Amino acid sequence: MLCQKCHKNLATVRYAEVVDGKVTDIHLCPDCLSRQQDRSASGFELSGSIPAAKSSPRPQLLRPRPRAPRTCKSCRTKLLTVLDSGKVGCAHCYAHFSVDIEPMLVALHGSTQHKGKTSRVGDVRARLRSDLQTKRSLLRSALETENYEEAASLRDNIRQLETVLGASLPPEG
Amino acid sequence: MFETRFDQSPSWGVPWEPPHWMAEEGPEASVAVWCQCSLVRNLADFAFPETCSGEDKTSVEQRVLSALRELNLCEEGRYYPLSDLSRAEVLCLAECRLIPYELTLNGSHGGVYVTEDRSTSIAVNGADHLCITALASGCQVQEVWSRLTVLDDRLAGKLDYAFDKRLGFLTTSLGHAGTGLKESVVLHLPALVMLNGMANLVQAARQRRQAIHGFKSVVSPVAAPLAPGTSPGEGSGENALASNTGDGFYMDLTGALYGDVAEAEGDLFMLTNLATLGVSEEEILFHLRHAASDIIAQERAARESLLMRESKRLEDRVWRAVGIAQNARVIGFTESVGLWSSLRLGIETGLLSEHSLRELDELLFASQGGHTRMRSGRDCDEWMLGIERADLLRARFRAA
Repeated sequence: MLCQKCHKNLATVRYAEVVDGKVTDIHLCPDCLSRQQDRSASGFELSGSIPAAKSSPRPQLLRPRPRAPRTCKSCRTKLLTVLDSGKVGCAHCYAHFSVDIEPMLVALHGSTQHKGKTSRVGDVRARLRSDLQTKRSLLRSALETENYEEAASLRDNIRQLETVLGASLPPEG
Repeated sequence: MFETRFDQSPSWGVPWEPPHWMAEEGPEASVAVWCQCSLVRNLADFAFPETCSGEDKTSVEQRVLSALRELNLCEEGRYYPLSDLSRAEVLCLAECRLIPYELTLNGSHGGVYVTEDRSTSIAVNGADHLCITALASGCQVQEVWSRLTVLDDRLAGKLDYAFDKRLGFLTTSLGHAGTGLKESVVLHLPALVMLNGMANLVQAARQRRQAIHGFKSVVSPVAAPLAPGTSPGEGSGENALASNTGDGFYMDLTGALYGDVAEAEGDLFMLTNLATLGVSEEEILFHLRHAASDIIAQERAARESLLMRESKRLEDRVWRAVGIAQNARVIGFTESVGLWSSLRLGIETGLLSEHSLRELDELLFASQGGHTRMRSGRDCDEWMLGIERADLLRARFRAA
């Protein structure tokens, strides 16, 4: 998820503030978190009535408690480092920290299922099938936006791919 | 500290002239300055560069070099180990967008393969083992991708990439996992800025999981301090470098080096995809191409509107810029980029017919810190860079 303050960096911390008895949750990146804490501590940001603000407790940091394993067995990168920076140390970190990383991937990309190129160049058929699937979805987008020129070109591409794959040609809408 | 080594033999040194791909005016050149496409890849049997040892990085570099040799790529370009280059040469490569910014900070085990026309590069041991980049002028999203994917396929035949069936290509930044593809179009949008039209574009881009960043200059990591006894603005009534925030634009895939649209320098913006996982390369390109065409159309309409309704405001901006370009003696990078924008707008709207877009775009690259140091053949502090930059502007815009 992107930081809800700057909308630029990766949000790594859920920050909760209690004002007027109401808990407000926001997701922040490390930079915005420190700014938010400075502002709250110095009392310049009074979002509620003054008496309520005075009586409100110090903001609480609701960082999710890291679950085991806390360190990647392969490269020794700490889970907290991954959560703070949005960066991993090696390919194995993805598996070691999958429980914590996957929600971050969903927030960033909206998915955890890869589509597109694969690393094996030899697997031409798999790639063509994936291409075909993508082009069908793009054809739908092009028709929805009334981009008929692009749609015609996509339809031609789809037919060529279907011929190559030896698939029967379904009638296109 | 900055090691000064400006000796260049033509067969070895990094060239500082503007890259060849800029010579050709690409499609939609009046709004789209250039487009760039990067693919991030890592080798399967090494930890990523930020955690692996120096020895491992050397092995990665050796493996990439032998792949380049086996693919006969060394005939079409050259591999530069960054430790063999002067700091000005490293900066020059970064300013030409051939290496990411992190390699200018620490390139001890890094290197870059660059094709002769400097339109394609493979940066080794930056944040990821490989960052393959292709560039082209104008809005050539598909063309750049076609070049990049062919090179990626050839390398994949020789190198074993870190890949997971479900998560795709595994990268250092979680923001690049999946396809590892960052495709961007650099847009010059002065009319939309003048008519306060940027906020809507940013909102629309966010909804499409794309981002619009403002270009922001950065002080180069090798910037020399001012020479003792000199001060910026010395001898002038005002500080000529007061508005300077940096001396170059650098490539950064994470977006951290770019600023908010409200802080953009030179009315230059980068439209780029945010999502790399769950969308195929073709979908990324499709949506980016459409978003770019849409913004280009809006900028054109805004320029028409300015010409129709506020032509004096437009003319004043352009001719003032010409006046400064012809007369300034010291100019900071930030101010020169502002002038560049006004001058380009003058050419785009037909007010400055004796200059070309290509000339202006080359000037943008040539006025950056690394290029200026290489051109002058010496290390320069900020004040000296300002003098060199003003000389370059005056030479290009000499009064008739």
